Amino acid sequence: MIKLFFLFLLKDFKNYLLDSNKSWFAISFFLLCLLIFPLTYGSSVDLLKKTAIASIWICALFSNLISLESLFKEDYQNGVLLQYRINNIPFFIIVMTKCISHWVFTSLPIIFFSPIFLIFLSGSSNDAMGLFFSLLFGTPLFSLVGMPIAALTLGASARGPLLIFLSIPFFLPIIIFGVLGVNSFNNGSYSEYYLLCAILSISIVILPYITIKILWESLK
Amino acid sequence: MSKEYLLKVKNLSCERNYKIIFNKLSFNLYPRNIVFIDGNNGSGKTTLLLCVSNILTYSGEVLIKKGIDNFGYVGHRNGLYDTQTVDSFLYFWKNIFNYKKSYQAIIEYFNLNKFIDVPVSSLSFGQKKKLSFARLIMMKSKIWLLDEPLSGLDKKTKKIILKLIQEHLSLGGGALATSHERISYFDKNKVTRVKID
Repeated sequence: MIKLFFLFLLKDFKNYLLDSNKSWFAISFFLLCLLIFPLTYGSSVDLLKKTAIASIWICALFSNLISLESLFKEDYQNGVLLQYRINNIPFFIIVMTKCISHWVFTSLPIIFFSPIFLIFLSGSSNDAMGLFFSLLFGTPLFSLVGMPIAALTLGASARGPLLIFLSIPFFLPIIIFGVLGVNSFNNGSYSEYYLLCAILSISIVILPYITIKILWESLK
Repeated sequence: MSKEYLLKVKNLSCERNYKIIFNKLSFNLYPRNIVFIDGNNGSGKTTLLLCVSNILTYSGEVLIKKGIDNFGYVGHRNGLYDTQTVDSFLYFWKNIFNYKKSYQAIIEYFNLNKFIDVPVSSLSFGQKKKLSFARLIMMKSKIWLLDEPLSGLDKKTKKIILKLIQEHLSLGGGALATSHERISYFDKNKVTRVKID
């Protein structure tokens, strides 16, 4: 089982690295989105400073939404998913490795470079640590929550817009807690982080199973 | 004398979107035998294979010989990742199915030596089909479900595939195949034909 897990993880990592549409596109989109904020605020540095954290979170949300569409698309369209199902390969492994690789390639670079992005948006360096942890606990939720929705829209013709409309209501609490958490981090209050961790713990247990059920149904 | 079946299908019916696809189909698949499912386009041949493999819901009985827990399936969609090379594809599935032997013999059998480092996206339709059959060999499944295994292939590739199916049958396996063409390659006594209207 562990061997199978690492085999799938390696395959997904390779797939993300080799398919430029999957990983580089999401990160490029994030950078492009980020660039818009300083350009639109112009000389209002104070406003830019105040909204820096929210801006980074919004960009992270958009880049995640963009890449969610391709989460199961290729496997579904080329018939690999059907092969896995017929050969009784545990879908839990498939779903988890997909989720991990999606997070690693779309969110992890954003988390690591978030202090630099903060400086780029004239944000306070005191918020860097808070932002790092809020993204660390929040962005896995984007992948986890987006997973069943991506599975649900597999057969739909207008997949992209549908995915965005269905996902955003579920992503809003994550963004709200993420942004609020950074603001209260310096005051020594971590309640939002605890809340994000609680949602993350529940999501890790429940959402993969919901995704598996939806994927099975989508093959019918 | 009753022979021991690999697969027994009894009164199998399937309904999709409130439409009956096929009704009360019955047939048996024995070791060393092949069952051909004949029918026009849209008659439900693929649906039948998906019902047998328990992907779709059906009414009736599908009994599988004890000890057989998976099917080898080759369908319209080949189940290949475009970014994988032939070598990484074979390595991946070899590890999944715990195939102990080297896959070099499979590469040679299908004449894929020259394409070992070529990404799947650059392969032709026939070469992709060969790869999906390569996976079938590594699967070591007793029952093969083949959805139009010869469609779109040239004579040479057809012969390779038919020989492979014949070898699988001679090793005690069975195959359930859909096909538009009337294939006369196999021993008549080993062939059962099921018609879907």
